[in-house]
Amino acid sequence: MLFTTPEYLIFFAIVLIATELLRRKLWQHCLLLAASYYFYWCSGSIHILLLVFVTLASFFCGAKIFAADTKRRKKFWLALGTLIPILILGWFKYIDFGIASINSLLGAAGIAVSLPLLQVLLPVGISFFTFQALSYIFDIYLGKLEPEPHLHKYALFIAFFPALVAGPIVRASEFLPQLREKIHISGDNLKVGVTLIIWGLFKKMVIADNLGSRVDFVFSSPETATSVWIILGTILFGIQIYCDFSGYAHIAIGCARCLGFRIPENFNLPYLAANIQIFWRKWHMTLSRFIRDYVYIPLGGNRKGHVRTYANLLASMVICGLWHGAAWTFVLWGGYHGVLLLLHRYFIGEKKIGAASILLASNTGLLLKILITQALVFFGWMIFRANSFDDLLSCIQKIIFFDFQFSTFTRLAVLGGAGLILLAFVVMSSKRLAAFAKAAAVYDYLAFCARLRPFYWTLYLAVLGFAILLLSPPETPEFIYFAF
Amino acid sequence: MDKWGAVNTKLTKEGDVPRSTVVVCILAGVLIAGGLFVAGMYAAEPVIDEYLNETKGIIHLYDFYDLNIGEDQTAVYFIGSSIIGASIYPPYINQNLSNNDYNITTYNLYISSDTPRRRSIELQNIIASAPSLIIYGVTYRSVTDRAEWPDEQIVLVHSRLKILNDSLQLYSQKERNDLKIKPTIYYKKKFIPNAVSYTPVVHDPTFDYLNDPNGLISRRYYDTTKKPEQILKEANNPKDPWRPIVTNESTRYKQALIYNVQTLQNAGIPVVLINMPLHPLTSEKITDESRQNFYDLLNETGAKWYDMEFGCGDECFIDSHHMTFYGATQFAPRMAELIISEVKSGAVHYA
Repeated sequence: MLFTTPEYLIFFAIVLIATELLRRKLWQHCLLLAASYYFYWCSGSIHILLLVFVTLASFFCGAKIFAADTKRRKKFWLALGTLIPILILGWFKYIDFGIASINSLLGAAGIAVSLPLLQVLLPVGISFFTFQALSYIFDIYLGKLEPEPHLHKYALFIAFFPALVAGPIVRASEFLPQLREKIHISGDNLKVGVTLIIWGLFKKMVIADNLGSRVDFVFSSPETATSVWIILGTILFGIQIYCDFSGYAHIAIGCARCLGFRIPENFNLPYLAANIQIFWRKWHMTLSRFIRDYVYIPLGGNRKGHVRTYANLLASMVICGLWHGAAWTFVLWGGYHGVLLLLHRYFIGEKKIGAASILLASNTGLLLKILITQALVFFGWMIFRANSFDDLLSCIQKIIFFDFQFSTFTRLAVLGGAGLILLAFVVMSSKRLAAFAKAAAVYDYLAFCARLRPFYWTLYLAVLGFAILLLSPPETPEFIYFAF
Repeated sequence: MDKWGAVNTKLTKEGDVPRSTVVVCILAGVLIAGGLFVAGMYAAEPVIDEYLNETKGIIHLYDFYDLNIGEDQTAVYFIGSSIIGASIYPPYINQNLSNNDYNITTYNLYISSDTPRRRSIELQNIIASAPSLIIYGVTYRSVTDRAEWPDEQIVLVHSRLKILNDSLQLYSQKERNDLKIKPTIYYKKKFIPNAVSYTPVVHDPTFDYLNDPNGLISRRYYDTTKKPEQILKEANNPKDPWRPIVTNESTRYKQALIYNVQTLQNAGIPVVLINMPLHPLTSEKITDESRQNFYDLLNETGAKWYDMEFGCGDECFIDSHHMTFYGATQFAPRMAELIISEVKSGAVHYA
């Protein structure tokens, strides 16, 4: 069941009304739990058993970790509670990848043996709910959290339908305390929630979906695309994936908000990041913090010397890449960002290169840093989007050996892009304009819209709703991050 | 910004915004948006219809069927994909027939990317237009199982389709829904994005040849020749969904081809199949197994078929499957001979 379908809107409206009508907190929680399982059933049918199993296993192991009186026992239950979700994730997501990789290695070694692929179906949202379960286990082990005594509340935390299939990755410490109070559908929550939902729908259905077909066209056969279209396709994909994923996140946060829950934001203007480190603090923030808290820091973080820090950074980002998908292009993408972070840490963090530069400290310098950072990020999106290594190599070749083939449209696009960048430099070179631009860029327009008086808020809904009806393609593709 | 996002913090005190007001605003917003959309679509209808008629040549094809041209003349239809489009040049064929004292007119009714399943939805329209003979050009990739379905063209002419119940088994549930879809909302929603992409209006000349005695307009796409290495690369590309591989499995494409032929024959229209010419490099890549499976399929249709895969040199092709103009002119006499032999055998009623 996609967020962008009428079926979901009807389902959500029913859940909202029913939740409000129920008098007792327990009934509300059970209703939400049932609704969440129904939602997952519509998305993944038989895989609901997996969701239930992961829930029960992590709930049980969490309780055992807390109750264990020796460090050894704690570690045992931690290991078990970690292994179960990891093995499940590994089996469903990575087994065929592993087999295909082994076959490639055997082929490269000249061994004429080919292991058959198992064609395992990937359960929707598995990467998200397993990570939520893991964060629960880890937080209990680290002493940051006490186990939830009520199974239904914990099950609701894992299965909460707005965030179930594509995040944000919520922590138990953020969600479970919100279950102490009876749910009340307030006007304030409804207004904020609907503001977020319709903005998310606009980003997904109007921007991301319309860009998708052009992006697919370019990347389906990059060897036939022109160089400028490879670059344009990459830029369009960067916009598509941001609008798709952040649109979903806004819908999820908005739905949760309507129900009276707050779940954390996942994006904070990542394409305005002035360096790669800041980018990862603004992009998929809940995954970044998971990787930071449960992979990077346990590996030693930056406490074990330079070499170990760099290794930890690289390992963390490779795992991040692998989380996104079972393909070597994702591993390469993660490794690429790991190298960028490593280089940033070394040259900017330690060697302080450019720290004394007046140019780089100026507004123009800030714009330059943003452009360079985003050029690197968008190059990474090309790695991320390529269907295979061969396709990636074709893309890179096309960029390096630029063919200078332009159509009217691409010529206009290049001139337009260059004009915009020039205009941005002109704006940033003026103190007053730069201050205005910076304020305008970071202003929270959604908060403004959510505060509008009823008449203007109705206009906001009507304008965006009309735009969605008019400009969304007839068939809405799935969210990109459903594949993860 | 903290982890919740500024908008996600508590903005007002509990109860400051009446819930009823918010609900009324939501309903009003939905009604206004929906009303604007519907009103806008109807207001734009004249512009959209003209745009659609200008850009979608498929309407011309159905206009052609509605002429029932076969009632007044001996008409021979060539049907198939762009492979037929490139290979069949009616003016030369007609001239050839005329030189042999046959007053027969041929029509090239190709549809780009046509497949047997796609063609099956217009069979009744074809039958109603009463052709004397149908020459159906097929090749190996016509029956490879690809997961695609007719495009928006079907939506545009759906009210003119006459689909029989016994063909519904060839389509998936989604495709059956597409056949019934009301085009108004669907197509008009596409108008704005299409209008932005294609402004000014780009005329689709695909079926202009129906009104063009020289038929040169249908040739406009076939003027660039691919190099042999490009053709080989296509032939060797494992990801190419159009690879000429035919298995012995019964696919919906194969069933559709058999259905098409038998439906036309049962309606009294003789059908002849041609295994269309291929670029020699492409022919070399076709396995014996695929070739045999394809021959078995052609036999299974029950129609007479001619194997013309070989016999055209590489100078006749712009790519692996499509002929140059030179190729089409070389192919024309063979088509004329085929038609004449069908007339002489009594398969074609010729007055």
